[in-house]
Amino acid sequence: MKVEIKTVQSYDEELAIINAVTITEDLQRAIDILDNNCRVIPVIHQSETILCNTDRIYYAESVDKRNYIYTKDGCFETKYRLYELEQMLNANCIRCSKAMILNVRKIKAVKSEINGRMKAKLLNGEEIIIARRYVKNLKERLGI
Amino acid sequence: MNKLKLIFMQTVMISAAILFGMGLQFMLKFIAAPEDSIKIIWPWYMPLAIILTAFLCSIPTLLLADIDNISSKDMQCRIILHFFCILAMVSAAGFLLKWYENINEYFIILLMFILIYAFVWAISFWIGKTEEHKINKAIKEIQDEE
Repeated sequence: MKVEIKTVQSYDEELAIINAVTITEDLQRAIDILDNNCRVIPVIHQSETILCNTDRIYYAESVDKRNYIYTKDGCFETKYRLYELEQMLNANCIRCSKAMILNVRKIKAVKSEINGRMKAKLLNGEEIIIARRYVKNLKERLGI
Repeated sequence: MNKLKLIFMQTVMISAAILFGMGLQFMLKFIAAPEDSIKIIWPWYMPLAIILTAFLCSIPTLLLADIDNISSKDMQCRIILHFFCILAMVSAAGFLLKWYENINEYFIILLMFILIYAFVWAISFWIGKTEEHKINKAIKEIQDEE
């Protein structure tokens, strides 16, 4: 299959058109990745390495030089550092503070605070602080 | 470096605000008594004094420079401290530069200061709420279903 890539200026303009005779298994996997950004990264759960779909990630946090990934109902350690995760995860995951990466698609709503930062309520009910200097990242990602 | 830049920017902005305030004050004096206003002459040190006052008033801004990791209660304490620090600077500068000569004039200066301070925070609050509304609207469009 020929692949043609055209660079666009914003995330809103991103669009993938696939011309195919049939949807093969490989093609379906590619569609899943494009549609849901569904990739996996290895994480450690009870001393075992398992694979975690990136679209399940709510946020990633660095605590005492150890890095953790949080999903709806779990917390897993990862060997990747935050800057590496930032590159590995999709564009929906943005830096929201020095020690945290947040999946924008998991935000239920945000509330501005008096000091310019924002409090994000996530779909699982947790609350995360988006530091003042990183609010710009969120706005850029949302095309505001 | 960022803090130096912040102090510089604040000094420039506060200098402009003081000039605006003085301009307004002189304009009102001119409207009230045009003949007397013609005689107003600024002392030689006034321009430098304005910049120095602006610089001193910009220093308390450092209290609000690194506020990402503080609680709302700490933030409220810092705002109160910031308010009183600037009020002290303005009162001292006003006394030395003779912006007020009696208690009534001082209360006018005090009222102007409180109004400007409240206005600046009200604008910041309004900008924050507008951003919040825009972000929430955009988030709804890409939000996952759980």
